[in-house]
Amino acid sequence: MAPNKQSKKTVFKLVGIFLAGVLVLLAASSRNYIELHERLIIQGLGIDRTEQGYKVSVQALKTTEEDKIELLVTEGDTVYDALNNLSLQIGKVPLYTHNIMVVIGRSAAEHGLDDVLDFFVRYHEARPTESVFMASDTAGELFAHQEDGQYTLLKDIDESAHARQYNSQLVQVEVMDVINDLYRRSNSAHLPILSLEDGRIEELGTGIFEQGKLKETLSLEQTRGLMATINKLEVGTEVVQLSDHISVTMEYFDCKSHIETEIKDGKPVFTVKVKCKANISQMDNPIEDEMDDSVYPELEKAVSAKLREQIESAIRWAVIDNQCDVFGFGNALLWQQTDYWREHEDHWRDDMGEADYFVYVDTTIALEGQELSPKPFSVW
Amino acid sequence: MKQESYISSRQLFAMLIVFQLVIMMTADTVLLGGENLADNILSCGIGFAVNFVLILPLYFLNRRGPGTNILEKSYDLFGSFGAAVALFYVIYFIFLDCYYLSFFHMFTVNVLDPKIPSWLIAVSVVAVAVYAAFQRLEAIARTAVLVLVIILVSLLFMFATVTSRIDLNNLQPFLYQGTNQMWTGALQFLGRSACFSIMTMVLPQVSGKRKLGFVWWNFVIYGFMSLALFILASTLGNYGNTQLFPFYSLASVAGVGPFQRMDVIFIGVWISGIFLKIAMDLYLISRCFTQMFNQKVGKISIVCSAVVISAAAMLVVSMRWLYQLVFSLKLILPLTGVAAFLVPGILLLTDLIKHRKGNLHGAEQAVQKDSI
Repeated sequence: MAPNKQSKKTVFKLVGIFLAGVLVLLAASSRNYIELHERLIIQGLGIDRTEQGYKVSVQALKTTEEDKIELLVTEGDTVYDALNNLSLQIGKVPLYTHNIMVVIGRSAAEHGLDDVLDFFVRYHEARPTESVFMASDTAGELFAHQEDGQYTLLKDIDESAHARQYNSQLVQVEVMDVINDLYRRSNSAHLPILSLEDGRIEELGTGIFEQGKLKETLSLEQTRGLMATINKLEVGTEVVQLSDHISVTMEYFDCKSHIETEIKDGKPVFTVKVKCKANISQMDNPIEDEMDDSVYPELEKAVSAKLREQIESAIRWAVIDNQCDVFGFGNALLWQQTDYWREHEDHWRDDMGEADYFVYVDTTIALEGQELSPKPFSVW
Repeated sequence: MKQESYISSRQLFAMLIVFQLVIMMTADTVLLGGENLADNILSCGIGFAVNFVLILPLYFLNRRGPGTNILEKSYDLFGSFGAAVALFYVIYFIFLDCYYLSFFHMFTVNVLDPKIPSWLIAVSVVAVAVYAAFQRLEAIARTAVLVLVIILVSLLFMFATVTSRIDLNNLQPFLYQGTNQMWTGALQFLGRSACFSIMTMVLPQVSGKRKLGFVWWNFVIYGFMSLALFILASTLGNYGNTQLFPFYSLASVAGVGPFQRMDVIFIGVWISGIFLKIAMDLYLISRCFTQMFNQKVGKISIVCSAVVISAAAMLVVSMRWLYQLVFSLKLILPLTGVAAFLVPGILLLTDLIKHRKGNLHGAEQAVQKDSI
């Protein structure tokens, strides 16, 4: 290669390196970076409605002390305004990426979820997988609750999440689920309700919403009925009585459901079919009284009847009495009776109370534990 | 003059898969024409079929002159007027890169909110692309193969981790709200089929089974897009309709065990893809300028075009009317139609007519000779 060409190439490379260096320096010289101690790492947000706007309670990690949660309360015209006031109040920049839950106070739920949740859809640090709850009274009360000088809400919620693995009376809802329910014409939103009972934060049932506003609540039993219908009943225990007054504790698992639809006399008919397996966890009969296998059909019938009752009660209360389709009946119509749905989707809220609903539950006893009673088989 | 290197058919189509996947991942319900993303799975089918038609002029043109690219062909057929074709492709590639970079810039501003100026990120990507463009075709193609493997593995892993969140109740029946969304989605996919214009330039430098490569490319991009749309729609449901970059939102809900927040993977995939696309286009722009002037101008044009692309992308994002225009189908669809189908089609027709005339002229001369 000619020396002239070689030197040109070297100059070109040097210019390239210089420009790359300038870029790195420009990036490094930015004064917008925020140190960790200037951050407020938000773990939970509680939102209550006030006369002027919103009161927001924030539980945040103290960046200066390990495992310490601090509570901050602020107000504003909107949720974002309140959170912005928080920054002005404490001189720290909130970080929402670590937020794990949003608790909406009853007043805010009655006023409407749309105004509250827009921030969690729009703001770039918000995550669609944050859990959402409703407070039976105010969110601030739950956030302020302490035990031995420690705020307990996050711990209690965490324990509830674990409890959910053992007893499905607790519905789990994320921001994304609420937005989907609010968006669809066929569905109504629902949220698990938290309450402060005897110095402990517990789940009370489920809040059901009509067009984003709180309409009514479902009890824990009705919540199980809801979960069985929407295919979210994973596990749960139920006590049933046999004809000879023996109490049997059953444990559900592997529940599957689907909704069938048909149009009869111009109105929809829904059939909810649920199939469950159940284990016998405990039988309160004298240990010496061995039971034969005739008890199985009776047990299966009793468990099925109990679950069917819970589902029917939930449907009656939510859909027929309060016009809140939290079960997805409208969605079933959309898929199975598309033409009918196209014609009626605009007045589904008025029509849902007129439809007929049938529930069938089929439970199979899977295991009886290590006890040989009732007898699972016979010798002949 | 440095001899142009050859790449294999696999390298070419690997590169084109990367380019296509990267831009497809920026789709949202506005660009895809509606809220029922299931309809856009049908759009993929249309795009897949139409691509076989779009490739025909280029295929026949290439068969008539396998060793010449579209620039050389236009100079052969139109003399110095052939520069118009080169100029059109320069403008087209600059527009495309501006389109790609504007999306990326919009993403960084609205979703990432970086603590360094967002223009600096865009400029850095372009600066690296300039370096890659100077390394020419083979280097870009080799890098693309590596990037493709990373992209496919990352995206498949991401998809696998969201399968537990799939809920078929989130879907709507196909064509529930008519066929509009399906057609709009198909036009959007076709408008973004910038890969044809790359093929017009580099096919003569490609060895191997090009027909098979094209079929695979077409199958992979639309197959992958259909899968991605299905997972997006059934996982996010209507929540996806509220998002500016729903595929990014999908990545942010993906996670398994200690692997949480896959959005970082999404950003990595996007940056590597966009850098390669801009590098390739800058290289092709330099080829156009080399054809029009000389190699020196061609080299200078890489840096100049990069500056123009960066500045234009910043400008687009800063003016609402401008990004509304650039992101709509009004510009990209006709421009891609001209670059992918019309220009090769005109050249093919002209070539056919000229040869026919030449043959007739030859036959007439033979007849005259016989009569003499």
